[in-house]
Amino acid sequence: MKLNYIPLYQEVTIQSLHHNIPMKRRLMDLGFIKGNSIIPIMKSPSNGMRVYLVKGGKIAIRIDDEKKIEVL
Amino acid sequence: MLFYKLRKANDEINELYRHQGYTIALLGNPNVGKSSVFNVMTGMKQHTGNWPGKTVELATGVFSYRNQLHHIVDLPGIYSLLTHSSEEEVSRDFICFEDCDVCVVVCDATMLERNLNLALQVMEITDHVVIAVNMMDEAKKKNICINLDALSSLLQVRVVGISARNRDGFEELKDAIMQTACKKESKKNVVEYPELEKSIQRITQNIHTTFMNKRFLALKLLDSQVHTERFHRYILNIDEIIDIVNEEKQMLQEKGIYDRFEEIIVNALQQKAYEISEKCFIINDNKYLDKDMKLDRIVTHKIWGYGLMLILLAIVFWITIQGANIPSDLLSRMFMHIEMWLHEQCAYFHVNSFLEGIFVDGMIKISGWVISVMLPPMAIFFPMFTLLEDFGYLPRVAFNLDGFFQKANTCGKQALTMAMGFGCNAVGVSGARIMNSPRERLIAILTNTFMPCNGRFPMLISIVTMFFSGIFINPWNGVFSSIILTVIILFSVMLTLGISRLLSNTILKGIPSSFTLELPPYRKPEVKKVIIRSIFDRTLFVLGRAVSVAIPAGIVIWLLGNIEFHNLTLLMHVSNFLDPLARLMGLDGVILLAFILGFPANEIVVPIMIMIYMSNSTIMEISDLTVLKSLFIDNGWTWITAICTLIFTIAHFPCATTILTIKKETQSWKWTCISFLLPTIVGIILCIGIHAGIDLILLLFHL
Repeated sequence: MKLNYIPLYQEVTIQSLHHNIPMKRRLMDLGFIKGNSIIPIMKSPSNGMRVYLVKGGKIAIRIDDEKKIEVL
Repeated sequence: MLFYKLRKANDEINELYRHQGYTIALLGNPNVGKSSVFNVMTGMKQHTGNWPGKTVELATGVFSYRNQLHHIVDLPGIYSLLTHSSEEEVSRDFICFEDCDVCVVVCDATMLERNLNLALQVMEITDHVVIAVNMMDEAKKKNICINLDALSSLLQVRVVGISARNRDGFEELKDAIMQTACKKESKKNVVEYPELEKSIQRITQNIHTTFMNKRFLALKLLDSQVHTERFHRYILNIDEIIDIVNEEKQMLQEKGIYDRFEEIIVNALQQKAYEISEKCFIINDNKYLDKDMKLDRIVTHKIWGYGLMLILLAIVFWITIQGANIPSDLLSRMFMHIEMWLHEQCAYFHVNSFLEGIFVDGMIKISGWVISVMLPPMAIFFPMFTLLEDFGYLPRVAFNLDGFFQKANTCGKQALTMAMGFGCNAVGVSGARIMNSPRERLIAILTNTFMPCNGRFPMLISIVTMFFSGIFINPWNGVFSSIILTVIILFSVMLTLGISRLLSNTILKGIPSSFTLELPPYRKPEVKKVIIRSIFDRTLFVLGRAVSVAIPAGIVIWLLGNIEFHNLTLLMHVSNFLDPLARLMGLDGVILLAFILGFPANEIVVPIMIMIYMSNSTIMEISDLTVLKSLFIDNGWTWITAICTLIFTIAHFPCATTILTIKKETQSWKWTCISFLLPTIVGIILCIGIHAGIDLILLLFHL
């Protein structure tokens, strides 16, 4: 399932990232790594981004980047 | 002779300075309080904000330990050394290639696991690492327990718990740094990569290098994403090694491992960080995020989020305008006294009246004017802005607004540079450094002038009050002016977004770069430090530049107003020359000329208008708005003139201070020229269009 379909507050586990390599590495640094669980917790009012609880931090990423993350 | 001796002594001191102490690099994730640690260590206070990724230029300082001076370098905040943004390369290159004796990795105690990831990567390069676990006080509040001894023995490096806010633990940190600096390198592997070990081993066994860490070098050579050329000069048998590396790459490719290269590395690091953090990081209360979450829900709410932004903006403006009033008055009175005194002195010494005019009525009057109207609002606006920044509110603003900027093909951080632009466009332009993509940074720089700065507010308010409010309301008192300002601001925000979009579809083509944003925890700002820093870093810096432009401009304005030619001052000649274009734009020649002469600082635009309308020889102010309004109406102003003037106030060339800053930031005359022409052309087109539109409507409806 693609991450952008996951509703808020539902915990999911990351399966794979399909970004270009620099973005993939950036996301991995922030904790978006296969096997990690993340929770979407907030949505930007202008529909641009969503915030995820990742490893104790709050990381916002854009919808276009969410579409490239497979989760379970 | 004396000079020679002095120089020799100076050289000796420099030499001593260079050889004596150690060089210490400070690095860590963004927003872990690295710069605060730097400040406490050095006493040289570099500005720190609660904004991820702030330090772009390297800040260096010195600290003393047992009568010896040591250098300390504040590296940019980064999440890892694996990614290849410019900040990461700067940090990695510094650790790899500079003579850096100790790396202090600053970690956030409340987010230890993610921070350990970076620490492990640094430890792969060098053994000379000290882990400074910052924000121990905050961790305690959140019921987080960290076993520093266990952490130290697991990592085999010195670990010190500190709190930069309370200045706790810094003596221990310095001790740890000194002990680590004299430590011998041990050759223990930090992290094992089972699938890659064979290849790494083959390279490390065959390589002859002057580089300190063979294992790290082997890893980098294998990585397809690293520009390995920089490492080549450290390798003595480079040709042989390149062959071996290619063979190993080939082998890994065949086994199907090479495609997962970064995954293997990142996973191993992450696994290790997880294991370590499991053993020494204990959260007693899992709900520590709750308080922040409640606040975040309001701050990023669909309605309240925007509402809060507008309210905060209005409050900041209100305090700025209200608070600046009294100090501005005092300053201008002070300068008036200085002027009067100078006039008296000139009269006493029989100074030529022409020189007296240039010096007192030109130079002193204009620069005094600029100081007294510019200094107080900035000294109030920027501390408030910095407080919001330190509190952690600004990343939320970027988050709220990112959707709009995505549509304009730019980045949400532009919202922040725009907000800085309200205080001063020059500060907004240099603030664009927080943007990673050069394309998006240029867009932010070029469009910053559409944000009306402190210098333009008073003009906007008085024109609106004179021509549109109907009832007379004193602009300095009242919520009304704040509301008007907010409406005008919405217009300028839309203009900025529109022009940004236009730029990204034309001369700065590109897709929006991927953008990640960390929302840091809310923190109580350190008020005293904020106030002192923002005044010195931003306000005085801008003021210095503004005065340096105001002095020559004062001379020019005085000369134009006082040299007569065919019974008319030069000012009138120029204004008559500009009149046809200005009429087309719905203005008149005087208004346009005032904007042009207001190039050094927008604050003097209205005073110049008054000066020309009243055929005065120097700039002046009329504080009573009814008097000002009748002066304007006597000179042919209508509500159409007022609208066009408002538009041109928002969209015209940036002031001289901003232009100087743009030149410095972009290092390019081309972009500096474009930043001058773009808003001017937009302003001219908008004015002509709106003027023609209104005329057409009036004509059609026979009004």
